Amino acid sequence: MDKNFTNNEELLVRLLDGELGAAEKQSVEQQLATDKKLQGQYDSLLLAKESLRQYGLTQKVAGIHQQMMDEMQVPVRKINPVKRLVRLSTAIAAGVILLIGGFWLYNNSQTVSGDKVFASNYHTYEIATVRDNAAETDLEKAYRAKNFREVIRLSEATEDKSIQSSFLAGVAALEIKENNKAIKNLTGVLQINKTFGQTLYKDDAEYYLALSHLRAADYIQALDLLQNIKNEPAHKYYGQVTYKLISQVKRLKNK
Amino acid sequence: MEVIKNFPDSELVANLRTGKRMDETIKAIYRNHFESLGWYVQNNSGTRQDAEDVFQEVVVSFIDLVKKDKFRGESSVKTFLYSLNRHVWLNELKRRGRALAREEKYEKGQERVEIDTSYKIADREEKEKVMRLVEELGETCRKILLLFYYENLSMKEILEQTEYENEQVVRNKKYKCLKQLEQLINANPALKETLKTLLNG
Repeated sequence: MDKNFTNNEELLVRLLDGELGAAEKQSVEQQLATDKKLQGQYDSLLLAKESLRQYGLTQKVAGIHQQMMDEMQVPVRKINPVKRLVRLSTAIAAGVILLIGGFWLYNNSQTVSGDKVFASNYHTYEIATVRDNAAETDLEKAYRAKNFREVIRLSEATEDKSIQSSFLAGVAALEIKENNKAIKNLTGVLQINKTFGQTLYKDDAEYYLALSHLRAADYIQALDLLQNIKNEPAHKYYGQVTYKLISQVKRLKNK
Repeated sequence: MEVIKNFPDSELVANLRTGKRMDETIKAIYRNHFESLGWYVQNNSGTRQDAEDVFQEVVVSFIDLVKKDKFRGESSVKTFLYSLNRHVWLNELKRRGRALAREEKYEKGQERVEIDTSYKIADREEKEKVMRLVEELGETCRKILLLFYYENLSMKEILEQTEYENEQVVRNKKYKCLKQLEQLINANPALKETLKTLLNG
């Protein structure tokens, strides 16, 4: 092997490792500036070092990643057979009680039902009129034309949903009684707003999300949202969330 | 031990840059940002697993950019992570050939979150190739090189973690391993390009 070549390589590795004195370093750097072959060798060493940095960092994050995913997921507890039997018996007993209780409640509270409460508080969301119709997006046009399935389709076909897209898809889903889609989209609106400290469609999303939960018979969530609206006099829907509505949802929750 | 929930942006970035309290800082990033960034992926055709994988990649890229002084705090860490997350996920969708016709933009008046085009991030497949290449080195070489070039340990400290006779033997071994890695890289021009992208960010 060419001795100069090997010496150069050793010098380059020492430069890479920061082990050269000032004078030696300056000399090698001057050679690098004029010798393309030498520069190519040094570049290869830099890439080797980079591959190690990438590997080390990826391994480091991967270790913490698994730990955090475990921490963030609800643990599944193992139940021993005796406890399982007790739980099963309790569940059956609770089921019987619920059945009897449900029958009693059905006979005694026919005046309040989720659907009725929903229907008396729901109105179709109206898009604000714009001066220039040409500036409207396809999604807005479809919503204005009450083509709700098209609104959802357009929103779902978008890879990078905007807040407006998610909101209109949410209220469109509510129109065609697709509660889960409505909840997913409207929750997304609130989530993005929270992330960026914004309030785009926030009040509308909270109100329509409460109604979505109401129709999905998830009264706890619905009540929580409605009470939050009622605690905020500046909220756009403060006036629409009446104490009567809150009381009805409470009764539904306690049924 | 107290669980650190969050750091101010300046402290978080300083920790990542210097490596100080690294584990706690990475965990704080997960606790504060995984939920909302994961939601973005899951609400844009992704699964929970996709959200996890993308987030992991985002964290690696973010730390890498911070260490290379490419993140200078023009935006908040949250905004920057969000744009990285979006960038990584859209690239992944394109890679999967599921890109759909139209990409709707954020509505008027909303801040458009874009990743600075000067940041070049290698995609997942390319990074995996880099990982596999380093794996090819074998355990001993990988360990010595990582202790030196990633953990920044001295030869003396590496000697304590290995069974070599003295520092000079470790130094010689490290030199041979580095040359071996260099040869592996030179034998793979495509991978070399990926590493150039990663190196220059």
